[in-house]
Parts: sequence; structure tokens; C-alpha cells
Amino acid sequence: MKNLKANPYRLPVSQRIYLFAILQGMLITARHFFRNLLNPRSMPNIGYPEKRRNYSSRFRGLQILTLKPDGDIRCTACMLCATACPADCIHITAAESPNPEVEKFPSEFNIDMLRCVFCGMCEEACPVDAIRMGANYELANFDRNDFIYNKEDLLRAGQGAVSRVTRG
Amino acid sequence: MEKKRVKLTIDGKEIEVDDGISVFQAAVVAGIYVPHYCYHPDLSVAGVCRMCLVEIDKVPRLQISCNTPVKEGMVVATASQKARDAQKGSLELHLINHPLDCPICDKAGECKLQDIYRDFGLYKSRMEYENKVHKPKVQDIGTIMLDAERCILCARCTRFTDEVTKTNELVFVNRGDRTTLKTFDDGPLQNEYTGNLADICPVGALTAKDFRFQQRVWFLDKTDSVCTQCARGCNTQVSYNPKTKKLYRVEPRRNVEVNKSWICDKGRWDYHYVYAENRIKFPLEGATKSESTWHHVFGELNARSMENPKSILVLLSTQLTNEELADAKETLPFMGITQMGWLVDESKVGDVEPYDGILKHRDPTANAAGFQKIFEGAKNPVLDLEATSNLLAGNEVTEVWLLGLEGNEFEWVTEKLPGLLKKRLVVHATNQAPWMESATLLLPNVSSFEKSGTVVNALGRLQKVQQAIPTAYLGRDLHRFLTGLREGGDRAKIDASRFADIFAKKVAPVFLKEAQTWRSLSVMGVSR
Repeated sequence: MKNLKANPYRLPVSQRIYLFAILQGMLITARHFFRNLLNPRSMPNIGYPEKRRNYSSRFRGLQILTLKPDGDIRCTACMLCATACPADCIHITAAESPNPEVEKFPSEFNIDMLRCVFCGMCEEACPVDAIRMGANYELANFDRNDFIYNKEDLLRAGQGAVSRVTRG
Repeated sequence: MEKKRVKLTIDGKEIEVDDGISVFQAAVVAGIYVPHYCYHPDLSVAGVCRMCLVEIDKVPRLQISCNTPVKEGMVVATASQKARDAQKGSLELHLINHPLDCPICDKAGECKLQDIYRDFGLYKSRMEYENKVHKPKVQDIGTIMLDAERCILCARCTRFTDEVTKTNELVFVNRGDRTTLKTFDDGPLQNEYTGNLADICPVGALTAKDFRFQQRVWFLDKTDSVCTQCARGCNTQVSYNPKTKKLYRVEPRRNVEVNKSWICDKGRWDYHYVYAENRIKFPLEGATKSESTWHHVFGELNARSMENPKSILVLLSTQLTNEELADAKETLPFMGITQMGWLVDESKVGDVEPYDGILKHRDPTANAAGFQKIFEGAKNPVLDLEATSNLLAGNEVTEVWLLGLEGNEFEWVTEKLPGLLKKRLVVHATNQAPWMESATLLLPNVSSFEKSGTVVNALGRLQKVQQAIPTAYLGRDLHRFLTGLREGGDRAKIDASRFADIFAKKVAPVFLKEAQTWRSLSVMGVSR
């Protein structure tokens, strides 16, 4: 049966053919094209990866683990970062340290970067400045397993950063 | 004789308590918390920590509440300005030489020093680090790690080894702020209750090696349960991490009538059989022990019991809960299986008093008393070991089902029942023992941490075992086993609260005077 009622959402013919809208869009494209052609400096693009944007030093990227002045890992495996983590992405296994001067150290320290939300709470919670938010934001990988950064990865990311925090 | 009662006022609250108790205990009755380190309800009063100082009217100086007896008409203020200042002063003295170890200390999170420091407003230390007295830190003294630097000299541990175990391994040496906790002659701890030292230590000076660095305590949830490692049935608190779904420690729960605040090291640390290598994970079949399924096993067992139920003898372990036993008492005769026996080392059953005078009983199973009561006056009386042994000597029985074995203490079985290994064996156990090699079917049982039910201890007290962790592997408790056996398959739906129904209908009327439901039964247990 034919619907006798007129469709209130039916557009007028001028709009239904889209011709005017297409011309409008092409005009905008053409305007940008010619503007960039005549004045390439005004282009907002950055030639990544040859050129990079400057981020603030407070930028929160991949976490790094710091070292003590003697070269040992600073982390004491107190698990406050894992406790503070809202995304539940830090997994630490504590163990007796081989160094007799140190009681406890993390035998495993894994961060699942697929879960990490870069909130920085781990850095905030750490009582000994062992974990910091680093500057690296290039975290693409081909395999899900490669997103789990272990202790060695995070120490490497720290590039030997030494924390000089003393206790007391 | 009725005890004399006295009336006193604590923090404006008027209460009436027994004469002769201390002001501290009266405050506990009134529900008022007084900060303390050295006071422990099951140890003598030492009065050394000076944290429980309170102001008492008409007494010029502050008194330690743990060592001041109550008097008629006493007016006590536990949180007046003067009392709070004095308590804070005591706390500051305790913290002077205490190391800043919290990140690596296993006690962090349940440390009294942390808790009370937080209550007193987190003030800054006036002590400079270099001036602290240092003492030996990581010391291995057997099952416990001793860190003398963390010790606040409350003397709970020395009193414990003095009064409870009477072994006196721990002593204080030197004087003043150099007083150090040591083991006598630097030897190891030599009693079977060492784990309690880690519990009663209010700080991290004594920590259990078993729990060392395993978990931070705030990750753990706690379930009130009962220890099933011997007939004593000590009340416990089981800690598990809900994320890893694993059990991490067993601690005693205070019950004055059973275990006070203590538990033996066996009950505390023998839970490792739950994750042991020899745990039976799947139904295993035949001499090769190839993996099978419950559905297949149930079908086979059902067929065999239909064929010739008279050739089957069922031996039920006394580790099973009352509910499981009541279920078996009903279901097995329904299947035609009337020959039932109990599986327990009879020479060890029946002691009312612990053999070491503290807690340990010789019977390593939890529910021998409940077993006897459940099967009292049953139509088919359960066989004792002698009758079972005689029956096994004959040829009438060709098949033996051993149900509900838990833990590793079943070496005696082949010794006491020599005819057993010649029969066709079906073993339902948590852990595999060498003699089980000859079994035709090895079925995974659940441990007591994975099921709920009631057990009766040697004192005749009905107590509640509560499930703390989800069922590990493919274990089935006896309720599920019996349902599957009756249905001949694994497709039947089983109500998760089946044990609670059986408790209310069949177990409570046997043991208790008034009707109880699972929920109304107290975790402290009911004495008959």
C-alpha cells in the first residue's frame, strides 16, 4: 500500500542532488591546495619521522626504571605502583636479592602497555623514585606479546638513568 | 559462684564488667580501642610498651590500662588530651630507632606501628637518620626471619616461647636502646608453633619465611574457615588473592574454646599440598594413567554399580565434611552399594586432649567424630578397619572405592589393609601417593580450601569450613561425585548450595538442639 503521508524528513530537490554541496567541498579543497602551493611554509604538517614535535618534559610515555648510583636496579618491589595502577597493568614478582646489601628486589617487572593508560600514578606512588614516565611514545608492535615490557626493556628505556634519592 | 561485678565509666560510657579484669579489657568490652603493642589477650601482661596509657580520675599520674585492675566507680579517659599526648610520646620513642623499611617489609599494611602512627597524625620525625641505633637485620632463625632493627621490644614473642611453647628460644640481650632480640645461643627456633611469632609480632621483626615477599597483604582477601589438618579443628583465616585466585597463607583466628590465638606450623604451612606437584589434576584411567573425563568415569562407575553392587566396597575418608557423609549415607544405598567402611587410622582416633599439651592431635583427619555421629544407627553399619580388612581377605569384594582422601598422609593404608592392592581400586584423592599407582581410576578430589561444610573436632564442636579459593583443576567434591554417579554422567545440574541444604535438613538435626541454617551457624562453631 502506498504511504499517503508525506515524509517530513524528505529533503528538497536542491539538496537531494548534492551537487551544490559537492561544489562547495571542492572549492575548500582547491583553496587549500592553491594556498599551500603558493606558500608551503604555512602547511601544518611535520615531516615525521625525520622531524618530530617537541613535547613537554612532563610528557608521559613509556615508563622507565631507574638505577642506584652503584648500578643496581632502584626498585625494591614494594608493589605500590601495582597497587596504585588503575589499569592493573603492572605485574611484579618480588624475590630475595642476590646482593647481600639489598633485601628485596623485583625478579620480574612486567608492564602491559596495552592496558597502560599513561596516567602516571605509578610514578606518583613510588617511594624511591624507581619508576618514571619516560618520553617514548612510539609503542607500535606487530605482536600483542611484544607490548608486555619486562624489566630489561624498561631498564633499557631508562638508558641508565640514575636516581639519587636517599632514604630518611 | 557468680563473679563480683563492678561499674566504671570509660570515655563517658558506663559499663559493668567482672571484677579483677584490667581497664584495658574493660575498654575492649565497651568497644573502645586503646592503642597497644605488648598486650595480647592470650599472653601474660608485660606492660612494657607504654602505649595504653590512660587518664584515671583522682590518680595523679597516667596509668597503663593493661596492668591496672578495674575498681568500682572508676572514671577513665582513654582519649583525653593528656592521654593522647602521652600515647604519642610513647609512639615517638618506639619510632626513634625503627628503620624506614616499609617498602620491603612484609608486615606493611597490617603493621600496628603504621596504623597507630597514622592515627596520631603522621608527624615528622625529630630523629636524624645517622643517629639511629643499628642492629642485625636479615637473620634466618628457622621458619622465621628475624630483623632485630624493626623490633620494638614488646616482648610478645619472648612471652610466647616462655608461656605457650615453654621452649624459651627467644631472649633479649644488652640494655637500653641497644636491647636486641636474639635466639638463645644463636640457635634456630625449635618448637612446632613458630608461625604464631609472625602473627603476634606487631611490627615486621618476625616474619614468616613461607610468606616472605609472596604478596603485599592489602592484595589479600580473607575467609574464615577451620583447619582440617588434625582433629583439633583450629579456627583459621585463609588469605587468598582474588586476582591470582591462589591461596597465600593460613592464619589462626581467635577462638578461646578451641585454639586461643594459636595454630601449629603443620596447620599453617601444610596447605602447599593444594599446589603440589603430585596433585591429581584430571581423572586418570588405567595402568598408564591416561587422561579421562568425568562424564566417561561416571558412566563407567554407574554401569559397574548397576551390574553388581555387592562386589563394591566403599571406604569413606574422615576428612569428608558432615554434609558429604550425609549425602553418601543416602545416595550409596540408593545405588545398591551397602558395604561402606571408614578410612582412618583407628589407633589415633578418639583423643580428647592434644598429645603435646598445646594443640596437636594424633589423628590427622578433621572429622572422625562427625563421621561416627552421622553413621550412628545407620541401617547398614559402617565397617571398622578390622572388618574391612577381613572383607578384603575374601573374594566377595572385587572392587574398592576410596573416596574423599585429602593430603599426603595415607601411607598407612596399605599397611593396615594389606588386601587392598589386589582389588580393583578407584581412588578419589587430592594428592597421588606411590601406592595409588595400581588404581584403575584416579579421580581428583578438592581440598578443604575449595569446599564448604561442617566438621566436628575432637572436642565435639561443630565448626564451619568455608570455601576460600575456587576449585582447582578438575576436582569434584563428594556432592558432585555422588550426583554424577547417580546420573551416570556429568550433565546433571548441581546446585552450588547443596551442602547448605543438606546441613539444614540432615546435619543440624543430628548435632544441634535447635534448627540452624548454614547462614545462621556462627563461624565460631557450636559446642554440643
